[in-house]
Amino acid sequence: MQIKDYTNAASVREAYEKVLQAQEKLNASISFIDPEEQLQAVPEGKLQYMPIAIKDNFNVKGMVTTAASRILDNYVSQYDATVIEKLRAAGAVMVCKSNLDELAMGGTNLTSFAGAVHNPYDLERISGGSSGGSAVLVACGAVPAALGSDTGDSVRKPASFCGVVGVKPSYGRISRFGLIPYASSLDHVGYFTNNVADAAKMLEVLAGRDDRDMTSSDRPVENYSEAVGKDIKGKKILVFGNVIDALPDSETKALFNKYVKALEEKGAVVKTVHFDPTLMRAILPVYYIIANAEATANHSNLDGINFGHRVEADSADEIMTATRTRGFGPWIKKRFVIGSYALFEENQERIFRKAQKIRRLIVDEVLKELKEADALIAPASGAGAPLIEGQSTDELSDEYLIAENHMVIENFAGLPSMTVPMGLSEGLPVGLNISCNAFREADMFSIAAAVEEISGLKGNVKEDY
Amino acid sequence: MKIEEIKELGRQIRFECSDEEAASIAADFDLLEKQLAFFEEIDTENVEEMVYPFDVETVFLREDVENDVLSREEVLANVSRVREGHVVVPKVVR
Repeated sequence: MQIKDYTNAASVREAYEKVLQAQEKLNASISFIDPEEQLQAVPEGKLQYMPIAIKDNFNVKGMVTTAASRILDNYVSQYDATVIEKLRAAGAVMVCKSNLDELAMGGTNLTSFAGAVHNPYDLERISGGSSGGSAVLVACGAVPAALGSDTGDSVRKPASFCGVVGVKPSYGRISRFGLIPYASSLDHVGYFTNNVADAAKMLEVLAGRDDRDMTSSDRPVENYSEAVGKDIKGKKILVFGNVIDALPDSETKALFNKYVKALEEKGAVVKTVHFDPTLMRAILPVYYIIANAEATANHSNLDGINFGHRVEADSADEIMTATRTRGFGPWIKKRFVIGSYALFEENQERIFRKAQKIRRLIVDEVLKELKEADALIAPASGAGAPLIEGQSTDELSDEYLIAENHMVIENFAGLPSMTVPMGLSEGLPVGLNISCNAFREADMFSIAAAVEEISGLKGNVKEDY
Repeated sequence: MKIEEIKELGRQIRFECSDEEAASIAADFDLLEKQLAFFEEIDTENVEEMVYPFDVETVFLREDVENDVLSREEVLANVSRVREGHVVVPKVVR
């Protein structure tokens, strides 16, 4: 596939027009950024004239930053997030703030106050979330790259559903300063592209120590582009057996098995591993407890007093209650109630601390195998994107608990992890997920490039909008 | 969990839930309790809680130099009611 070249102001203007044009059918943006002011002075850099979409939970100075929540519908950022500064310095040009699940808490992009995002392969289907708008804008060819955030699989799952590349690097690899938080021990900055080479280049721009984010790492930023196209002969790749076992026989499974074979033909040493199934079934509830408990605490500052959409009342206390009642959607209320319940003194040992302990056991279980290998691979989703309306799931099945939610492990462990398109299953895109040891992003990009070579899907977009 | 208990949980973290919202949360609690049953099958004796993916060492001291300072106007730009440089709320002591 031909990769479009973005080398001048005209290509940025064209991207901006496409973002506007795609809005009616896809609803992928929350606000638009006319690029003319940025085009006055575009610095020379690795991303010069690359049009880019920014998930609307990153602060961009002077822009409304809503995080798709009514409570922030009038909040204007007074500073740039570190990643925005880096993108500007590298010559990227922002063209829109993209749609997401409210406060990035969701996996469907159906909970945004701005409405659902639609999948470009089938408008009746979800984009996935929470970074759905960013995934869709890359998938429809409007922009070549988009910023997202990933707390559970919020970049890697929509990447699978939309047929694009989605990257979540190691915890601490990219500064989170200026990202509206969700769950601090799990949040990562991530991004989307339509090819692996661009994904490697993006990380070279975005990574690095930032004194404004104390969890950011001071490890040197590598030349990740060098890893793209590197021979994978001898690389030890683990197939996530529990995920494969939990999937019904399907086109996805058959497709994935083809890739396993093709990677072996390229010289990789592939082995299937199985982890303790009891621990694997606990992945999702552990995530749900930790993420919601941290979110409840992080978002206690959303009260309308110092910022955000205030609802006036007779006392400060009543202002907070009225503001939060109006400001939060039902999904957020649900998650905050559960998070708060887990933090009650009488529940802390049984629920919250127990979840944190099981998190460690899950991580240890996976690292025991991964430390002796280079990567762990699995289908990023069992099938293509679900329908917006009327798709039911058995939420106690292994298919749901393990096959559809295994990518949370890399948030627990802080491992680099990315999704690469592997083709269509029942006519819908599905991706292959590759996870590696901490700060071994180079391994991840070299294996991803091999997968891309097998698929022939470099630069894959669905340009109908 | 009962609807009224859910509503009370909401009030404690400063929001009201409608009957419909509370019923939906109650259904979620039922599912969560079933999923939490997996926890009981896992022995966590002597396991330390994991609160971050891994320790990122931040051991440095810097000079006490002002940086990334927002002006008062910038700080107050998003406040809905401001008077003479202060955030305005209704009287607390009447």
